[in-house]
Amino acid sequence: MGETLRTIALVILLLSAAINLVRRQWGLNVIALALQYVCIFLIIQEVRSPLLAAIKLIVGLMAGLVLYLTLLSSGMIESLLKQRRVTSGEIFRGTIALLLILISYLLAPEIQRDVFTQSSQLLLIASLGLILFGLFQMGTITEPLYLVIGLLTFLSGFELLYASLEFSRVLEVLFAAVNLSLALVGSYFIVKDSEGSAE
Amino acid sequence: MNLMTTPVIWIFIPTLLSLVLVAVHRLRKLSVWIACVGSLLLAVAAFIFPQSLEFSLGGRLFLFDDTAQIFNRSLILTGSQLRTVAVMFSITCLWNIAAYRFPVSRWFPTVSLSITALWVSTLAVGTFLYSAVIVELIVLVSVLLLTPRGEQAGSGEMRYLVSQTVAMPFILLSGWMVTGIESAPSANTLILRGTVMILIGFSLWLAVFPLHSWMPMLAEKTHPWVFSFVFLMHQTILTFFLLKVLDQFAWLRNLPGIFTVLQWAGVISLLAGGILLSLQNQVNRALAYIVLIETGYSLLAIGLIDQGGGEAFALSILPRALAYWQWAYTLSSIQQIMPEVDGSFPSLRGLFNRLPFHSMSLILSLLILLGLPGFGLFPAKRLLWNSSAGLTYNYTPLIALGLAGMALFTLRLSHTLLTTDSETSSFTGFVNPKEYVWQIVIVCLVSLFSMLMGFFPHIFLNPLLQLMEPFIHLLPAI
Repeated sequence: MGETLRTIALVILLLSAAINLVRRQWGLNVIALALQYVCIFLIIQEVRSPLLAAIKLIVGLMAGLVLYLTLLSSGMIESLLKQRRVTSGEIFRGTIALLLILISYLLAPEIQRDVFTQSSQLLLIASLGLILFGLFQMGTITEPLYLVIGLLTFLSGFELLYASLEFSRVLEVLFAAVNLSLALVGSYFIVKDSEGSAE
Repeated sequence: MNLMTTPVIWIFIPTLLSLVLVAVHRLRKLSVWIACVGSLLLAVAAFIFPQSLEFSLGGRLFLFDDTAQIFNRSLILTGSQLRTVAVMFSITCLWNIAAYRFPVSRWFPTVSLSITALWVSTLAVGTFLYSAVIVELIVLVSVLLLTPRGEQAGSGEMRYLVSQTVAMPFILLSGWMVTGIESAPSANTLILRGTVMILIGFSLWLAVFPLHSWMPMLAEKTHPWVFSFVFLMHQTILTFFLLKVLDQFAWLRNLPGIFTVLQWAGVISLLAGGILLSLQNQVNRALAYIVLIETGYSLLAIGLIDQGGGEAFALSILPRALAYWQWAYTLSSIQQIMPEVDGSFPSLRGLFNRLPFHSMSLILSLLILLGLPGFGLFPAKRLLWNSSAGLTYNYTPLIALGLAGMALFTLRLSHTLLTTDSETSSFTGFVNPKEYVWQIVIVCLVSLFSMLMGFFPHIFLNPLLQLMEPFIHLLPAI
């Protein structure tokens, strides 16, 4: 039961990350980010108690909420129901997303055997996938929202990996602080961006 | 919780003070004063505090502990580390003194004090590689200062955020990877992996060439006063952190070739910084390349640790901080007196006729950073030039090229400041700007102090050698 749920969570997690990479619809992106954290909550329970896993969920949802409220107050949320044609850029990023998922799936067993022997393959696929999606997003986009989503994705991938290696309360607190600060910095950038555009 | 501990005094008190400053941040003058006096008191206290952490006052013996517990982890600030803490709070005080004069964020006093407290905590965390996450927090806090008022966040800020965030996992994973292999043979694959991760992490953190591309972008947009403060602290404390890593991990410092790698990283950064600086036409961006060159010198000093590099590093900290202060103060002051100066060379043409003392101060700070004899940085740089030449001649031409690049930039800047083009004069039609006496006094005093440090290094610089005392494994002789 647990394993099946985690596998489903892994699929949804990678799909959410892929949506964030491919689609440029801000409302949808924030929802996908929140969904990402729900899936991380389910996957991380393999190595953490539900209570500790809930911290990551709450922090992630709070980060998402901060970004959503900022977008809402700046009037930058696009309607989710708005129909848009698929662009060539989206097709390219979609292909990259598929490639990244494939790389994570193929690399995870190797990395597990050579480096992270105590981490499960499912967890490694999830963390590797998030790290790669995050890195790709950070490397190709300069819009503040996508940059912050990329950074949060990258960090959550790393936190997932690190959770399977070591436990430290101090680190949990510091990671929570980093995630929330990142969301605040992202909001700050978005507000500055919207003010600049308005001028 | 025992309140009579060093982490409480130098981490929690400044954090509390910065929280107080949040409440009064609108009263700029008051918040600058609080930050100045607070950091000065903390610096003086750290400087005079006995290393044994006990002293008697009025017949009573006060015994302080160097450890505070938080979430079952220790924050340890030993007596020997207090000199470093004193330097950090002195820098904060120096940068807050003039913060009121320049159009920097009104959060500068608050953020500078909280950043300093966080930097101190990076040196104090018991499981010290966890400091990587604190460094990330510092980066996130400093981004608020680095983004100019009323402007959109540029690529420099974004790249800075990305490169510093990517560095964190490398440091944390290296710590996990090498847990308990202190006694393993050096050929161990884990050691090599751990070393590579640490080196990549520090390269990203310190923006070693070619990972420095975000720095000139950031320097161009950010106020020089803020940029110089953030990156002086960043560069200085991360170099201390690298020394701590080398000191704590025997497997790392005993790995064959590790110090050679650091020497090459330093020399290449120095060379690249010098060449790129020589091509600059924007003085705001110049500080980024100066930081790159100084990072190169710091890495070279660590690489030459057995040849006196530790001493050179310690001797360079204060003069370098003063040179950065002088450069940033002069540039900020010029841009305040003459807002039409955007930092480009054409806008600086003939500035010497209008602001002679500021122009001289700008050139003088570059000469100090170049390592000119008679100034504060000369003893440290001379030690490094001699040590590197004594080790191998491979470095000498590269260092000389880097220095030539910096000298060329200094000459180009001097030429620009001194020459006036009557037809295309930038200042035609503007009200004649003037330097105030107090501004002249400040730049003269800083220059004089730099000269005093150069002429009497045994008085002003030798006490800084105590900064190396915590590194007992790396520098057992000190």
